[in-house]
Amino acid sequence: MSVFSEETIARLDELISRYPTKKAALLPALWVAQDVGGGVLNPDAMEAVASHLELPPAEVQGVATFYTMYNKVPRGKFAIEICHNVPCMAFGAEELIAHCEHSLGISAGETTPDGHITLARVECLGACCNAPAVQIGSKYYENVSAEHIDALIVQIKSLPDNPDHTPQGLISETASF
Amino acid sequence: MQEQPQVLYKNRYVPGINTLEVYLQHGGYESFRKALTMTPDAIIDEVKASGLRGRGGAGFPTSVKWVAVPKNRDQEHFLIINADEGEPGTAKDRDLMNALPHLMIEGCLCSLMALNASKCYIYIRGEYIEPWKSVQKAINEARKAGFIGKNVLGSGLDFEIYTHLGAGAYECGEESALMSSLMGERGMPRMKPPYAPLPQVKGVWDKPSVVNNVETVSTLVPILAMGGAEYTKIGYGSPRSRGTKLFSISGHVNKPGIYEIVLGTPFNEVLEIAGGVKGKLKTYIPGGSSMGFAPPTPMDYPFDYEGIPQNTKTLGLGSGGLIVFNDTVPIVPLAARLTHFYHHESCGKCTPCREGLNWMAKIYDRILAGAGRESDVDLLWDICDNIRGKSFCPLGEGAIWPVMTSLTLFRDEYLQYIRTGTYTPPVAVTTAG
Amino acid sequence: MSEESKKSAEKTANTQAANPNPSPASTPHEAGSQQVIGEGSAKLGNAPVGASGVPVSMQSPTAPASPAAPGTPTSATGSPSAEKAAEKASETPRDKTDIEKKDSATSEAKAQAAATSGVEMFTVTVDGLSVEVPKGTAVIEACFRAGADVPYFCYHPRLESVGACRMCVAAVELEQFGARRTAIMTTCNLQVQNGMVVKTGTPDVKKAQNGILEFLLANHPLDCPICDRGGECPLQNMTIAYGPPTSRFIEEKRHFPKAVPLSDFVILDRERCIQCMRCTRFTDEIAGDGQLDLLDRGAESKIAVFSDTKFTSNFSGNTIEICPVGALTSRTYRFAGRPWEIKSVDSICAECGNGCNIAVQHRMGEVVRINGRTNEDINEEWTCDRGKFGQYYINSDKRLSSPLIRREGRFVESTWEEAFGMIADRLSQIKAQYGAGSIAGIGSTRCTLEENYLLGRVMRGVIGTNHLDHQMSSYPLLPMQTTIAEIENFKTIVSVGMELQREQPIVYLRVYKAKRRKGANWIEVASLDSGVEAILRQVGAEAVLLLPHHLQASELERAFAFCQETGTKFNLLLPDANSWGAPTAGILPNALPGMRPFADGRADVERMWGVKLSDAPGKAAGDIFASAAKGEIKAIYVMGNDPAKEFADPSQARRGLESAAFVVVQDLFLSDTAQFADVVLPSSSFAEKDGTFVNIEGREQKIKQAIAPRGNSRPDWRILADLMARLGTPVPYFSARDIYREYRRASGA
Ligand SMILES: Cc1cc2nc3c(=O)[nH]c(=O)nc-3n(C[C@H](O)[C@H](O)[C@H](O)COP(=O)(O)O)c2cc1C
Ligand code: SF4
Ligand code: FES
Repeated sequence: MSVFSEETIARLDELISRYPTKKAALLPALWVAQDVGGGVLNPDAMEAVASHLELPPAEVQGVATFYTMYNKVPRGKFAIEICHNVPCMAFGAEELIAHCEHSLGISAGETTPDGHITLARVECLGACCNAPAVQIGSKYYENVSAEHIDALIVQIKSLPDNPDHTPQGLISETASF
Repeated sequence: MQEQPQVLYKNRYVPGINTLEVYLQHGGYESFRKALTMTPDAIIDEVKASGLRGRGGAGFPTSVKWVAVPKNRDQEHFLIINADEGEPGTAKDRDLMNALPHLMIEGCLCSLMALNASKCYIYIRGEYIEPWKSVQKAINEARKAGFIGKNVLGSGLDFEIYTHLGAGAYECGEESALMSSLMGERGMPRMKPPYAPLPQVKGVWDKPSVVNNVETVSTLVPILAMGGAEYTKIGYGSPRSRGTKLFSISGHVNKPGIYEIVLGTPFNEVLEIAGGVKGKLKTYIPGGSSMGFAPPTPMDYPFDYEGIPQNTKTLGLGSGGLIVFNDTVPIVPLAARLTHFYHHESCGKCTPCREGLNWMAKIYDRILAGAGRESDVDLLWDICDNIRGKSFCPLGEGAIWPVMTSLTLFRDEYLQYIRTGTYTPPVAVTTAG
Repeated sequence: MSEESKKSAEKTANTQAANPNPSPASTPHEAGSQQVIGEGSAKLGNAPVGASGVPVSMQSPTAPASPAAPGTPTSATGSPSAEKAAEKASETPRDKTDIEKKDSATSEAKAQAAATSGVEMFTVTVDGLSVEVPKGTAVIEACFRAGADVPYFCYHPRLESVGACRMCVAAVELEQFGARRTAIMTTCNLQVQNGMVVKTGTPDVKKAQNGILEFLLANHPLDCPICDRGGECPLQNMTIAYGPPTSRFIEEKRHFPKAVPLSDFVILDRERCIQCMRCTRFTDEIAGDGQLDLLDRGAESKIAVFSDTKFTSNFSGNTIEICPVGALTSRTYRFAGRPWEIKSVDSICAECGNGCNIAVQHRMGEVVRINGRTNEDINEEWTCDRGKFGQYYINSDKRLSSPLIRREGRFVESTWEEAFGMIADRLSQIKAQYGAGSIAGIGSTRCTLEENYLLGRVMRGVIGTNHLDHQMSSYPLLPMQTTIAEIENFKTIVSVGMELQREQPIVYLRVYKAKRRKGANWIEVASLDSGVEAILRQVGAEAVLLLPHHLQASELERAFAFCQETGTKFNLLLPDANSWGAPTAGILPNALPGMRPFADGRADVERMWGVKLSDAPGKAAGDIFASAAKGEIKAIYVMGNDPAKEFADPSQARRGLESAAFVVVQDLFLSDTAQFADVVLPSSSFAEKDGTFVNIEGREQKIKQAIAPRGNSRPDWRILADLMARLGTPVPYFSARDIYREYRRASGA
């Protein structure tokens, strides 16, 4: 009674075929599980991955919690992730975060009450030369100013299905590659 | 200012260069075709002649690393590309993967030839969805065109390249932790010599493995195209730092960006390439935050593998992430931020890094909250000293370096910050250029 | 740092050390900052500036390298020099906790084993003393050999090294890439090189260890007074020997919920955890179930089981024993005593036939804990949870405390005198009326060898009957063809119809070890029909077949024949602590002690017992119950067995017991069988008596009395000896040992 559909199982099996051991497919498998779980990785999904990869569930949980991008608790539909590492910090990342906190009415790390937007601080995004940098879904925004982010928030709200912005579907392309 | 020959970035701004079609029009995959005609040893000889050193951070000579791999196709062995770029201040691999994915794929194929290996995994950090898609697209194109797959270009050789997406852990850039992560484990580092055999002997899945940075393998393409000896003639040709390297120049410069710069270019010229310092130079981090803070003088030394540690007392060139700070920036919050970064990214395996950084982060928080004590300066130093050389992997070392260098360079500023709770920049005396 | 400058730095340190009143290199910046004081600071304070291999220029220009630099007001006067301190440390070895002693003994055993197997030997110099160790030895083990004290937390001789805690550092001179260098290195994960030089007590090393302890304690709750580990805690011990006397950590510590129960047996206190990963490695590498793992990362890492599940591993208790702090504690031992109040007695587990060596620990006559004890041939140092937590029935209030006699259908408490009187009278009467052949005895695979022997003597020698058995089902008594330890060397291991983890836990650990460490192929099948023959035909002598006793006798015999043909080793795994001791004691219808047939043993036994043995063929258990039901057998004497519940056909046993005119039962509890008894005699548990258990391999091991028998109970052998005297045969036994000696002679040894 796996929580995965046959299609998902097929995706997992394709991933497994890329590696010499089943276990090696764990990270990609967790991505898939998070993807089909609508952006969260709950214990049922971890257990299903564990049984499919023949691993102790505790080990799968250990791996899933080691990496920050697996969401153990649900996040908002969109996540605005603002880099606060030094290069961005030198260009006002903290002010930008404060601005977003103010305009969204939440603190970094929280989700708006309507479950729409999560605001998060992240470490260096690798966009240091155009600081400050913001990531929303798979998209990077660089040299972000307060006006810019306000516009983005408006855009997010008016275009709720932009696949570039939603975390779901980020990885769904795994299978097609 | 000497001219900066563009080797990696020659076609960086050609429209559509990320597609196979355009890439082929610009001589794409010629180096790979050449490599197919060479023996692994001959390729390694070229690399040796070129003096290429790892562009991922450690600067280890690539040919030396490769020589140790048993090059027998019957014995499975792996090439792993480190595209986990997470070092604060470094953004070059992202740009390479976004803009020049085929250059990297070709570099992987050349490296596979050099190692006589057939399987390559590209470990891309989880945040890099776009670069990952770009690389995947390039792989698919290359596969269609017959550069990847079975019996490539009629050579009788098989080549496989897979991408593997990380999930948010800086530590996975450390090569042994990267291998753990690739094997589906927590991204914790594994033992290395003298504690265990070299990864080239017993690496991922206990098979011989080599981990190389994206830029390192990409550089193989021009090296094979022009020949190793020719490569050494580029620019300044300092004997132990050959060729060009990508630098991500960020912070207080007028034109931040990613530049291909000849190793050995004087530091002040490097700054000029990036449009010069905005304001007065206070300090800079030469190669990614783990290298530590450098003093504003001297400025005219060769910016390369040897020049940097000798002239700045930082750890060195690192990954080429140059972060420049002018004197409006207080040092304490910077060091605090970096300490929090390493604390957050510490894998938790070893005591000094896990506990020491936790403690340091708390001390910094206390200082920032205005409850610092002057003795904290010495305490921070001693905690660093207790981490130095005792951590399992170099993350611990990299974490304390920004703190120790900042304490050495800006001790007075620390004390002032602790006493007054603020930083007053020196009275602005505008310096031209 | 160049060799020379390092030397000069060391020299500086030495001169400073020799000078009782060194001029301060610099003064600390703020007297108010908490300094490390006392002896610890003397060791620490003499760390030469820059001697740790770091460019001196890196050192803060105005600040001392270490806050307690030489000559700080707190440490200058009268503090011993670093050298002297180091000397002192090596002169008077610190007290070690039991688990440390166990670890070093294990590593020693490992080295010995390697040395005798002809591995190349390397010479290593540790603190000036040179020792020979086999190639492949970890440096820390070489240090133990040389008698040096290297502190450690994550190292465990039976687990793969992770080098995580960083406590075991020493200054090691080693060769790498063709050059010799000296560096501070962890020794638990470093293998010796020939000619390696190791120094364990240099000032650098001491400072490093002091620093590590300070780190570990920074977030540790320091709740030793209420911690079960207190008094036998490696962290506590190491801190006393190596740590800073005070902490400079003034921030808020990490907090986690305290005392989280992971299962019915194990409690986790995450605040005390030092993330050494001993427990997680144990569940992964030794138990193989991986039920514990780390959660989260960095300073937030914590030990956890999966989601809301429980720690159900049958080996969970071992993690309590190897935890070097009080993070994993036992629910059963919780607050039951302090190590110094506890007496520990070496014994053998009574729960299954593997024969784990254990230590029964008691406080004021009450068993409070059972720990594993090392025996490389059997359990290494592990036990299963049944052994560790399943034996608290010893303390149960439900145990029988005095003899019971049935009067008018109800049990009435009586004295031993009265009970023996009644038994002797009734047995003599039945024997006189119906002959000795109307009396039968049932022995037990859970009583000792001595007790079974004595039952045999009473039945055969005193009463004169051969109706004697112990088997509750019929299985052939085929000895194991390998030892438990040898199982790990087979390439193929086939186990049939068993949940090995639960039924034969220690055999399972070997099997898993073979699989994990030596790449063996472990095939688990449900029955012999699941293709076992085909497998064995392929692998033959490289395989070992593990079978449970509960298969059909005919199947077992067929498998045995097949193994003989293919050369596969045949291992029948019997269930109980003394499964082999009962038959070898002679509790079989037609065999004498030593399992000798009458033809062989009769003369010896008759001479020793001074009687003539009956010629009538003995009945096996099934026949005994059948004959009782028919009224042919009138009296059944049951020692420590429960046929009404455990006989292959319990209803048959019940019918027999019901029909018998007189039934005596010796047991700890009022068992199902005791319900049929006329007299019930309270016997003592394995913790309350001496004796011998013979495990599945046929290995004899001694159990030792740890506590006085509960209530009015007596050991089974004592009961039988008393009865024997009552029946008029002089009793030459003062102890189980006397019986054992007689058994040896009676079995023809
Ligand atoms: C904590 C840590 C993080 C690292 N991160 C990266 C990284 O993101 N990318 C990279 O290429 N190398 C990184 N490295 C360096 C690698 O360990 C390794 O030296 C490099 O991948 C080797 O490739 P190269 O020889 O081509 O430089 C990191 C090292 C450490 C200690
Ligand atoms: S230094 Fe230690 S805790 Fe830090 S990342 Fe390396 S191994 Fe992990
Ligand atoms: S015992 Fe060696 S690092 Fe823990």
